[in-house]
Amino acid sequence: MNSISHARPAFLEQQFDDPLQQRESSVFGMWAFLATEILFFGVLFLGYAICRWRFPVAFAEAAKHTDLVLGSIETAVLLVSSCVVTIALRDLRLGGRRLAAALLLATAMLGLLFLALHGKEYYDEFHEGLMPGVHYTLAQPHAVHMKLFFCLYYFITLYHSLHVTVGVLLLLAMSWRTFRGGFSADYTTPVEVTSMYWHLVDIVWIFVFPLMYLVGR
Amino acid sequence: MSVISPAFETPAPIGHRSFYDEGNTLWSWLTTRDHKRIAILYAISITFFFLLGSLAAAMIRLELVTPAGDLWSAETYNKAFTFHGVVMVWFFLIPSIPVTLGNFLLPLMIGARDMAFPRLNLFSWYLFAVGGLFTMAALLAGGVDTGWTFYTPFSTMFSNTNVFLVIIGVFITGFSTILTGLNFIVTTHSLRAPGMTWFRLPLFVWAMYAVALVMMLATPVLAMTLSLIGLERFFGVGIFDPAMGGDPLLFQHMFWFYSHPAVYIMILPAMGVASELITCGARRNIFGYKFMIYAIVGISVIGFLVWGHHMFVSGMSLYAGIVFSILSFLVAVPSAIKVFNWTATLYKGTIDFTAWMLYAIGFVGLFMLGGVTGLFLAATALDVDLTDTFFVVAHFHYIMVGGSVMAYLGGIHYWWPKFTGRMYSAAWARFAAIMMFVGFNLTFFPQYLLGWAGMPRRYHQYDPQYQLLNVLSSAGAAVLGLAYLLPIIYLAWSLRHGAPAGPNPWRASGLEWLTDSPPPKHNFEVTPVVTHGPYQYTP
Amino acid sequence: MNGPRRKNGRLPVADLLAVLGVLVLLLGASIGSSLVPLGGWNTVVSLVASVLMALTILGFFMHLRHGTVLLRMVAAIGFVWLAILIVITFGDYFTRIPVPPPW
Repeated sequence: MNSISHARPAFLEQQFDDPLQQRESSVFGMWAFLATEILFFGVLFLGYAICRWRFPVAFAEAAKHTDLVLGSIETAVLLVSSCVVTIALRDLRLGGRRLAAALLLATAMLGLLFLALHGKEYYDEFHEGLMPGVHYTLAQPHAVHMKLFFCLYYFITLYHSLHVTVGVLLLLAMSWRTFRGGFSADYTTPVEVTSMYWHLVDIVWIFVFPLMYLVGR
Repeated sequence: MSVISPAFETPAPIGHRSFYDEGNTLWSWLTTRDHKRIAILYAISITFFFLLGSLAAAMIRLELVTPAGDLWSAETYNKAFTFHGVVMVWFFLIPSIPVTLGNFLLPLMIGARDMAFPRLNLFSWYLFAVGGLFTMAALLAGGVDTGWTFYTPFSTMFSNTNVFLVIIGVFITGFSTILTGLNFIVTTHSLRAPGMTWFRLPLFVWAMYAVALVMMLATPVLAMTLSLIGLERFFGVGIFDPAMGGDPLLFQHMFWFYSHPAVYIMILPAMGVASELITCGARRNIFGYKFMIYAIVGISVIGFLVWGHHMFVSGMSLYAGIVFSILSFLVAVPSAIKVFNWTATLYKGTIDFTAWMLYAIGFVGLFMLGGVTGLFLAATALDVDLTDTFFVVAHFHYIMVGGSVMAYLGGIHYWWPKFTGRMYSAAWARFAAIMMFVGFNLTFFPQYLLGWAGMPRRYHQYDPQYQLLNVLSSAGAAVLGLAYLLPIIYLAWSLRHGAPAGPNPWRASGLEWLTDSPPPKHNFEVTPVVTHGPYQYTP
Repeated sequence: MNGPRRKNGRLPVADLLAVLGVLVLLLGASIGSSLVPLGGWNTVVSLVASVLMALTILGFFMHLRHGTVLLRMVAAIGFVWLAILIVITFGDYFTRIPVPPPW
């Protein structure tokens, strides 16, 4: 079928002519997917902006109930994990295997740490009665409008945590495949697009953090 | 189109192996990664949904034969038009041309062996199927009565129907659309054959590219907006809830940010199909090729800026309304450029009135009528009078049924020999096309008059003075319904009894006509090298 | 893609750690500024810090610094479209004339 006579590496799919074309297509596709993710989360940010513009005082009051210390640690954890996955990819491209697999595993563990810390936040907030529709006990002057903040807080963080979970699963798979020698210096594309996804999860959080934790301090 | 010897009238090599010969078990179809087979999977699925949506339409038209609400209860009627809208929009019109014609033809037209991501392509079909199952589950569980727009606060706080299930269905299908768009974009960027520059792409490919952009940039917004409704129903609180200061109008902004561009998801592919059909049927190169491209891109971009014209009477700011109105008029400019260029292409052409050419010419006329009435509705003052009347219903059916469905069927007839390797009965096809045109106008033109006279939409009963036009409309719907059944019959007949088509029965230019009909698994025996533009017609 | 081939953007580990240091510093600045009462500027400052952090990640960790023009456009288009959504929607809210409820 292909008129190309030179040997095709095993990872090269039939619709591509050469490995470079395959890699560029995958990377390009991932960037395009990330653009859709930005719009996906963006709707929530629009909702946040409109509601906060309408009820600035209630939002400032409500944001004080979030846990600044845990939130800051979570942000730092994600930033570190982004750096770690970049180093893992670098090592893989230089022909490494064990270190890359270990670093990918470490990234996944940092993701799990993030989820655990956030779970702790949810647990505390439930007991504090901050969950509209589930358990909401606030009774201060703006308590009704503060529900809007909490709705957005849970919707955004839940969707974000969902993405973190997917990212952790992908990273674990990549770590395993790397360890088993599935990649080489010539072929790192799956790890590369996974790391891009992970960076996006990080970037979304970078915008969630100031809007949810740093308001009204 | 290519330096490879022109394939006109070259008979298919005897015993050539088409993509159908690669396995015929159900399993081979359900696990295929061949874009051509996936296109056929989609074609079967959307035909099923089209028939389902048509049944709901039949329920609506039957009820409206008499002024009294005697056939169905108001609730049943609401469920019927909601189901009609949901199924037709998300499970037929939005996928229709891209996932069938686009999936099949895009790689062929750019000289590629497959899509950039074949597995993702198949995954998109599964998402579509799962989303469809959820939607049908909602139907079986009793239906939904919110209208396809799911307006809050009715959908979040008051409706007691299966909104949640339908929203899950549409949400999942939305991701099928996003991934299809992504695949198209990467494929067009990465897999063009040597020499296939951007300004040598057929207009259909440009339309697919533009529509893929719109799919990717609009659909995530729908997905999140619907999920906000779902969460609000699930938890009983949400950001659209007026009781806690939420704004239901915010939902309309988010929804129409998707759903207005979604109109262009439905019509842009139709424009691409019409461009291919008209230039071939008139045997003249398309007039103003580059301007057609600029118009396609212009429509897809400006289409994102006009969503507010759905909200003129909603309580939105008057000033925002004025801006949205002006921007909406702007969209008419590139649309008009396209209509002018199609007619200019026909001028002095050698027009062969094949069935697909009838569809294409019908498309231009009906699209124009739908577009011009769209300008009525874009004018804020007039829109106040016409909002939620049958005028609106007639307007968007002229665009979507008169435009998109006509073009879809035209495309099916044009590329059918390529899909199947068989010719269908030309006489029956012409008859069906004309019958469809007549039935369509009989159905929907009276609705313009009804709306102009003030008949509101979405009621199962109406004042007696509207009856005559409603009866005409329902009669037209019967004609239209029969006309839709005809192609299913004669196209199915052609599969077994049709004459072999050969690679290029219409003497068309374009890479897809260079390969066999039906094409082999990897489309081309030798990757074509392109040396000139897509249209090489002489009168 | 027809653009120039992407450089593989292999930064030394030390440089990557320095980038991380910059990110953590920006985070610290963002948190610190939020504790200083600046009125409406608090949000502006922390959002500017967030934009800088995002650009740092995009440029260095995601190698967009060496990306083709096409990749940069794709990376930007999601943000641009989101800006369209937000700006036009606010255009409505800013100019809306309040209509008191009839009850």
